[in-house]
Amino acid sequence: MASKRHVQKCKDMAFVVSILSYISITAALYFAFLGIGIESIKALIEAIVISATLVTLVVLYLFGRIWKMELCK
Amino acid sequence: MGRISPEKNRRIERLYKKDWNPRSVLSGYFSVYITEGMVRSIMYILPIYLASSLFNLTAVEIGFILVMAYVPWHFKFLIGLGMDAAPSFGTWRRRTYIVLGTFITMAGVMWLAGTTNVWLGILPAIIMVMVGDALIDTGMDSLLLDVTPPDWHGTGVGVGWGARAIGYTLSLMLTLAVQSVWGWTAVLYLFVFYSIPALLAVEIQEPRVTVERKIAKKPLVETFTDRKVLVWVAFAFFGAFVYVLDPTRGFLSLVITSVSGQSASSLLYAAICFGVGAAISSFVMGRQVDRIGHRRGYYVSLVMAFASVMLWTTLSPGMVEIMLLFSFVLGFCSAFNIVSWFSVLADTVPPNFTAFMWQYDMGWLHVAAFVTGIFISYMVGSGFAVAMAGLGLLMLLGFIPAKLISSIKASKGEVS
Repeated sequence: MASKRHVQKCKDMAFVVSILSYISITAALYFAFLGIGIESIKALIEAIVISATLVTLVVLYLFGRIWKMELCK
Repeated sequence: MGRISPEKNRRIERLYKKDWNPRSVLSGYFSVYITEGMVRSIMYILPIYLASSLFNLTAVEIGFILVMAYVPWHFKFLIGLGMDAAPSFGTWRRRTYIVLGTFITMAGVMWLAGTTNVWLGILPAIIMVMVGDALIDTGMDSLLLDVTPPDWHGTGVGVGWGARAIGYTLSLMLTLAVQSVWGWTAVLYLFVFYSIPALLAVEIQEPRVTVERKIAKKPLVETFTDRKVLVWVAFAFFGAFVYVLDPTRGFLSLVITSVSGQSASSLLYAAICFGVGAAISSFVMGRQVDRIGHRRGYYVSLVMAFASVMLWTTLSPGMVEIMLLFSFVLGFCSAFNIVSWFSVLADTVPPNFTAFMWQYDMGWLHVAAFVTGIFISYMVGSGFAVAMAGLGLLMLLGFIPAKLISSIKASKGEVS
C-alpha cells in the first residue's frame, strides 16, 4: 500500500531521472562521437535517437512501478 | 504456434479470427508498402539532385539535409504512442493517419518540386515528405497487427516487405529513366503519383476500439515491469543486423563499390538483384515461417543470412557478374531473416498499445543499424571481405535472445 505522498515523490523522481539521463547520455554520446571525428550534426542526431530510445525504457519502467503501486491500492 | 493459454486463445478468437479477411488486409498492406518503397527511394534521388549544378551544395550540407529528413522517421515510436492514445473516429483509427500521411507526403513532394530555396524550401519540404511517410508506416503496421491473427504474422509482414522491395526496385528503374528524358521537375512530380496506392488501405475494415485495444496503466505495468521486455529489446537490437545491408541504408553500395569500383550501372543492377531476391523471399518465406513456427523460421533464416553474407568474403575486385548473383542471394536471405524477426516480435506486442510497442521495437532496429553502420564503415577500410565476415559473426549473436524470448500475459500471442 502506498501513500499519495509516496507516489507523488516517485513521480517527481522518475521525471528528474528521465531528464537527467536524457541530457547526460546525449552529451556523453555527442562528445564520444565528436572525439572520433564523425560529422557532428549527424552524430548528435544519432546520439539523441539512441538516448531517447534508451530513456523511454527507463521512464516506462519507473512509471510502471509507480502505477503498479497505484493499482495495488 | 507455441502453447497458448485458453484465456489468450479466446482473446485471439474474439479480437482477430472472428472478422479476419486476409484478401482485403493483405492487398491493403501491399498497396501501402509498394508506395512506401517507391516514395522512400526519394532518399536515393535527393543527393544526386542536390549535388547537381542547380544548387552546388557541399557533401556536408547534403548530409545535413538527409539526416534532418530522417528525424521524424526515428521518432516513430512517439508518433505510435500518440496514435494509441488519441481518440478514433468511429472505426477509423489507423486509416485516419494513412490518409493524412498520404496527403502530407503529396504536399511535401509538390513543395519540393516547386522550390529552389534550399534552407526554406527543400529542407522543410523533404522533412514534410518523411513526416507523411512516418505517419503512413506507423498507421499501416499497427493496422496490420490490430487485425491479423498471430498465425498470419509471417504472411502479413512478408507481403509488406516484398511490396516494399518491388516499390524501390521499380522506382529506381523508372525514376532514373524519367530523369534522363524529362529532367528533375518531372522526376519530383512522379513521386506524387507514387503516393497514391497507399489510399487503397481505406478498404480494410478496422475493428471497434474496445477496452482490450485501448492504452491503459495495467497493460503498461504488466509489460514494462516484466524483465522479459529486456529480452524483447535485446532481440530487437541483435536480431536483424543484416538490415544494415538493405539498399535503403546506403552501406550495400559501400561494399559493392569495393568490388565493382565507382560504377553507377553496377550499383543499380546490384540493387535491382537484391530487390528481386527480397521480394520473392518475403512472399514465399513469410508464409513458410507461419507454417513452421516463427522462432524456428528465425533460426533457419539466421543461418541462411549468415551464409549469404559470408559468400561475399570470397569475392575479389572485378568479379561483377558473381557479385550480382550474390546480391540476389543476399536479398533473398536477408529478407527471410527480417520477415521471421518481425514475426517473432509481432507475437509479443500487446494489443493495448500496438503502434507504440511495434515502433519501439523498430526503433531498436534503427539503433542497431547505426551501430553496425559505424562498424562496417570502419571495417571496410581493412577490406570488404573483413567487413562482411565481421558482420556475419555479429549477426550470429541473434541466436541468444531468440532462444530466450517469450511472450507475457499482455502479449498478443505466444512466441512459437
